[in-house]
Amino acid sequence: MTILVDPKKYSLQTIRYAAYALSGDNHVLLASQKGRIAVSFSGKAGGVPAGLKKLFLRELEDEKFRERLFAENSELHYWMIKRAINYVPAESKPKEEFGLTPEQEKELEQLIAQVESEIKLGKDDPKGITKTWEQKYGKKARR
Amino acid sequence: MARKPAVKKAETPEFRFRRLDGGFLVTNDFGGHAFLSNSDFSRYSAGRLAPGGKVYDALAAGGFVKDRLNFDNLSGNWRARNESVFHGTGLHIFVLTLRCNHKCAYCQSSVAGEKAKNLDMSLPVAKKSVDLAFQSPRNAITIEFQGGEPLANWDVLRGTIKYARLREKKTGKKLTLALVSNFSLMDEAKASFLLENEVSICTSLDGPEALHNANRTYAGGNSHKQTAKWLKYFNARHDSQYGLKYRIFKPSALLTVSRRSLGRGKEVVDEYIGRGLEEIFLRPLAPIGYAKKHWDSIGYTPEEFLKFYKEALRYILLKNKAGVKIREKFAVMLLSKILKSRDSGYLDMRCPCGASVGQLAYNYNGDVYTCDEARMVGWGGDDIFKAGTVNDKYEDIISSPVTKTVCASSNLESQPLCHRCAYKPYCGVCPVVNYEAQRSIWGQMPANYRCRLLTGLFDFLFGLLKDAKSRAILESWVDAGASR
Amino acid sequence: MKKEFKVDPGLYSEEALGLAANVASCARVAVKKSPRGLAVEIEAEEPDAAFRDFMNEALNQQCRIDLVKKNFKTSQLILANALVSALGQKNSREG
Repeated sequence: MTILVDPKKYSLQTIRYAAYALSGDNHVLLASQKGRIAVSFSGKAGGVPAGLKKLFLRELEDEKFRERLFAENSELHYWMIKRAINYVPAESKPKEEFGLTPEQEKELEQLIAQVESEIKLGKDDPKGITKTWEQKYGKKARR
Repeated sequence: MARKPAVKKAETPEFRFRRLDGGFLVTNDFGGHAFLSNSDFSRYSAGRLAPGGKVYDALAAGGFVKDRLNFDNLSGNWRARNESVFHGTGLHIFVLTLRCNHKCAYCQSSVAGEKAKNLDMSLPVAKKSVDLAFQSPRNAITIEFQGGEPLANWDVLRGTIKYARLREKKTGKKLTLALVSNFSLMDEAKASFLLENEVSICTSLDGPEALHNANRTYAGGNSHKQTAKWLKYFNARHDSQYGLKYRIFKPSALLTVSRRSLGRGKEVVDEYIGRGLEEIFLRPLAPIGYAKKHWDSIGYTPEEFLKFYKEALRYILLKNKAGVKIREKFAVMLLSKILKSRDSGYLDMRCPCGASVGQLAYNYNGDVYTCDEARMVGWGGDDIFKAGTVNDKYEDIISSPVTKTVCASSNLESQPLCHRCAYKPYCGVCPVVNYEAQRSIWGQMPANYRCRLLTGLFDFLFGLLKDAKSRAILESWVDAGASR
Repeated sequence: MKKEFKVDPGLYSEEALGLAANVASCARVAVKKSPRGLAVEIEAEEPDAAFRDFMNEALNQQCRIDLVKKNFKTSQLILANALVSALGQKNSREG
């Protein structure tokens, strides 16, 4: 059986794929014929399977749709695959560190200790900030 | 007057479709699948499916609606379903000997007789094989001892197990050891040694006695009796292992479906249940090696296998409904990907296939092949799939032209029929079967035996998923996980 | 027995025919190129039957060539990832 396909309606790739999809049970041959592409089928088991033409025409439409789908989505699809390959699930990501490193903690402790010792000696309070209001103004308030 | 903005219809990202059971099955590479009626498919594929409603919501959840894509979820699904591809070679098959005391009708291992000479792996070669296996970057590896009959080379088997466990301690890798044996040379001392070293045991059980023995001729006696005896022994040891310092795994059995098995699925299933086995692997015969030469007498068409499989699986589901614990392993492995986006680790069904990057086969003489089936082709005189030897470094084997070529040929993104197939997210091709059956590692999928068989299998499984009761049972199998 | 068959070069590339010639099982196949176009010479017991099988393989190879051209990036991404991961690099996240 030979089916003539208009190459203006279906791309060559679409025609090839549609024919290829049916090449399991059939021998398939493509040839040019008066500006059309002739797709010839012959059943491997002899004869031509019933309903083959309908099947092939349906495959053409399916392949045309697949071709459009691929063209519209190939970049997105590639990006999604690439993303999936590089994907790290949330539980595998290193947890954010809150608080100080051991070195920073040590430094802070030293600083606190220094300030406390200076406070005790009265050295670090030239403006009397650490004194309470009563300590500062208590005698004057009692006038 | 302001115009109401047009309702945004569902735009379609890339997806695949197949006509199935009067409607359409749609799938995508990111784990989604859905069944659509003809009219819903027509609207959806034309981008005219309006938001709201069960169909739209189901498609959106499955990654089928372009502006509702949850990239994190979809990436996670893809990653989980292809997880095994991201690690080094996990399975290392050691062919300890080609000698065997059985003459199985379908033997794909291409074995020689028990008294044949110079067909045993030596201990130095075995140790080098262990060293090579441990070079895999994978933290957990499996060494599986096969043959011929590996017990026929007992001294080397014992020495290799000891050496491998030592390497395990030194490297900190996790090592699983497995033995595939016909049990005819098993005795108490050997069994105890194997169990104490945590070797998991697997055998072949083709069905009830007459069927098993017809397939698996054993000149030294009754193959089925030996298999049954030692299955009982290992099951009992497994069931009574409380308090031991080592772990005993439940024994497992494999079935190779041959022409003799056809029409006898129920008997085979009953045999497995009767032997206390909870899992059966209805494994089709591949037209390679010895089996290829004798295909006319032992082989079958894909349609014949599918008839057998459907009958057996329906019977297994019936047994499950009656409370019997038995699962079919092939279904579990395929449905793990379909239902849970989980990689079952089945090296034949992934992209690219497990050739070298998933498994390596170490022949008795130190030759290393891309997989065990490839080794069988090598035994037939064609070394096309030989990736190196045990004297090579692991990186050299992975980087070899053989590995790269075989991986490339099993890449579904480059296979014309697979690329458009609705089952692509769950499937894989076997370059060895392609080469043996169709003279090309790429194969010709429309006429490919394996492709036809798997397509039929997927059609059947997806059909079962539409039945709520069957689906519930199949889901419970997947949740329980594969035992091996 | 030898027989020559013409093949439309606009529909099957020389590359596809060459690849198919390597796969041919029951025949010796030679691909011939001339100003008039492409031809294949088949030497087999039944050249017509062998030619039909050959052309199915040629279509198979042609479709593969077509696909590789349009899907090269994605296919290479997956292949490279598999090979690089097997060497223990990149995105291994073993539990």
